[in-house]
Amino acid sequence: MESLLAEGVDTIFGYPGGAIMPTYDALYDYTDRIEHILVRHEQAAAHAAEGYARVSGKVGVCLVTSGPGATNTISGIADAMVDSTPIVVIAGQVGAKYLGTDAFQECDIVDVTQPITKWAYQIQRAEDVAWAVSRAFYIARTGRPGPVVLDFTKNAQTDIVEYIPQRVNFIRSYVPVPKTCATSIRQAAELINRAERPLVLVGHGVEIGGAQEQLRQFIERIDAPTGCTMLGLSALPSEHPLNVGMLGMHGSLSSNKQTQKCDLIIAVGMRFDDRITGNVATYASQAKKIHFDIDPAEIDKNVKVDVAVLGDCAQTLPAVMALLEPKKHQEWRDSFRPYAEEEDRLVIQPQAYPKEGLLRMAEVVRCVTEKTANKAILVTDVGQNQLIAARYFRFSEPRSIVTSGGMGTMGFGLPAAIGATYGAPGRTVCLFIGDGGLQMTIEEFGVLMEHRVPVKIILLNNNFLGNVRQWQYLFFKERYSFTPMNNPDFERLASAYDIPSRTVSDRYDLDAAIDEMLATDGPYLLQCAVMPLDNVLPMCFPGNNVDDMILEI
Amino acid sequence: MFYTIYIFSENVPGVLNTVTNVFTRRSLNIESIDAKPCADIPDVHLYAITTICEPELVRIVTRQIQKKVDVIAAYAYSTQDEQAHGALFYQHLINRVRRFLAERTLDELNARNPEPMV
Repeated sequence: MESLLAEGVDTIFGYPGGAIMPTYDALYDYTDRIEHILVRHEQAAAHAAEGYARVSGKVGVCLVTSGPGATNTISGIADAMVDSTPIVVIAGQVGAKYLGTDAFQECDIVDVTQPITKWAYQIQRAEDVAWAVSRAFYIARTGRPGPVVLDFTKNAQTDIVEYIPQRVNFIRSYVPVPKTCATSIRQAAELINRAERPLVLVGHGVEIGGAQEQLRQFIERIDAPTGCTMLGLSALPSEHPLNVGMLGMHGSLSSNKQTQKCDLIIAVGMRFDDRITGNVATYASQAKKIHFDIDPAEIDKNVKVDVAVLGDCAQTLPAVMALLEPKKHQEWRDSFRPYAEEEDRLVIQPQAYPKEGLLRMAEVVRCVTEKTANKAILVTDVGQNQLIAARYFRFSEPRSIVTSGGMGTMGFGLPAAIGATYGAPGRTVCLFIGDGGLQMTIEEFGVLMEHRVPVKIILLNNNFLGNVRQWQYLFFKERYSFTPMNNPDFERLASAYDIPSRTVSDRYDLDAAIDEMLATDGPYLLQCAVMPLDNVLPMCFPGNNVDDMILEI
Repeated sequence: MFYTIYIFSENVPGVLNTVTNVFTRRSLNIESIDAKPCADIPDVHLYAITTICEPELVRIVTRQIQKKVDVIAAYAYSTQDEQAHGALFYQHLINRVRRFLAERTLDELNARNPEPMV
């Protein structure tokens, strides 16, 4: 516990069990300094730690027992790895002398998690605890952040040793921030100064690096249109005049069209995921490319670039900017407008401002973001709820989107939202979730009930696994194989957990229902009965060129 | 093309597993593997793993191995590269790692004694 306090831990999400009982016994004496949230399933502990970490910038911690307790965290660990989220998972383990004997609840969690962690380590001696904990936090939070697993044998928990504080801030074999090559700075500046049609792509790395202000100055200096990946959406205010919207499969028409017309791509803290590039063979093949990243392994991984600027983007962006001539690219910027207008006419107006017909997902998102003055934290689950929320929620503050980007983990939303409320206690947390995803971790209603956690749940209920259904519609001849959902009465479920709720199916009730939700202290479930067969548009079909988007079906 | 990736690591359990995971994920066969303490650098282990793959992929795989926390350095060479260095190849390799470790020693000193703000 002293090792955790030394790392600034104030919150733990966890679930006790046999092999971690000594640690829980110690925690009992520290509840005045460390708040423990008892989740109802270990998967939720990992996702809650992720939510906490993503909004606070601190390391999220979860504490679980051995065997199934540890394996239940795996979805969250993998999710944290792909989305560069710093969490430390402390898992109990059988005593060292029982290792390898198939003892009760023994699982080789180090071996299991090595491919999906930055570091996984088994603590076998009490003497190693302070060192291992400090090393775990150092690795999790530095460089490109990620998950660390500490496999904590029972004897190491029970043996008595004197606590000697340790502070790991250097590991010989681990270079968290690579040295920036001066040549790359100069070459990047030369390319940018020559560019006539630059396009900046902003990823999660800008948020992680706390480089939002450096980014704003950078793009304003070169007057470059800027698109954001889903995890990078709140790195730049939605209303910034250079923001041309989300990139990729369900991104804005203008950013995707102009990706194929720009003469320079400047990618900052993003990894050219296939959901961003579409057909990688044709992706921006006409353009030079600069890639700012902290992780050398990302360079040329998916897309070959002309210049790689390694390092912390909070440092490298200003270094390049110092060599840049102020530019105006008005004509280039204006060329985005016809596409934005076309998308507004064919997609945004019908979906977000409908006058008749069934309630639509986009109008619910639009109403919520308007009523929170674009200041709330958006947490999403995965699927249509996520894509629509990402498209229509607006952001004015950094670290305001928590979503499962790389892994697309259904069930992420509710526990991550719980974690977000602890990571950013002063902010409104709005969770958009579907009827499928909610039922994957619905047991966490228990946490909402127990702690009155102020998560505002907006359930977009279409009685379908909506995104899979959309793909079945598009690519599988409308054969809706196991996507219709036979759902429970969610309001009665909420009621059983003492969570106030309301269902809206008529758009004329929507405003008042959202007002009621936001005015209610603690948790709230707003169920929106939305159009069952609604689709997320625009869409670039998988494998197609990124500018090959459909706006209507 | 045949490549050998030379991996210098800390002497801790589990490193080899983290390294071979990178090959498994890409469905790359390991044609041969040699793992032993590095005779010329104390407390460092050396793995030489030979695989067949395209040049682009070997570059990506080597970077992903290099990224592992307990891997000190990873370098990939084709058979032709090694032949070009001739008898001096091993010494060339060791010198690269020694240079890297010398730089890291300086980094460690800086981490312990950060530059004064003013």
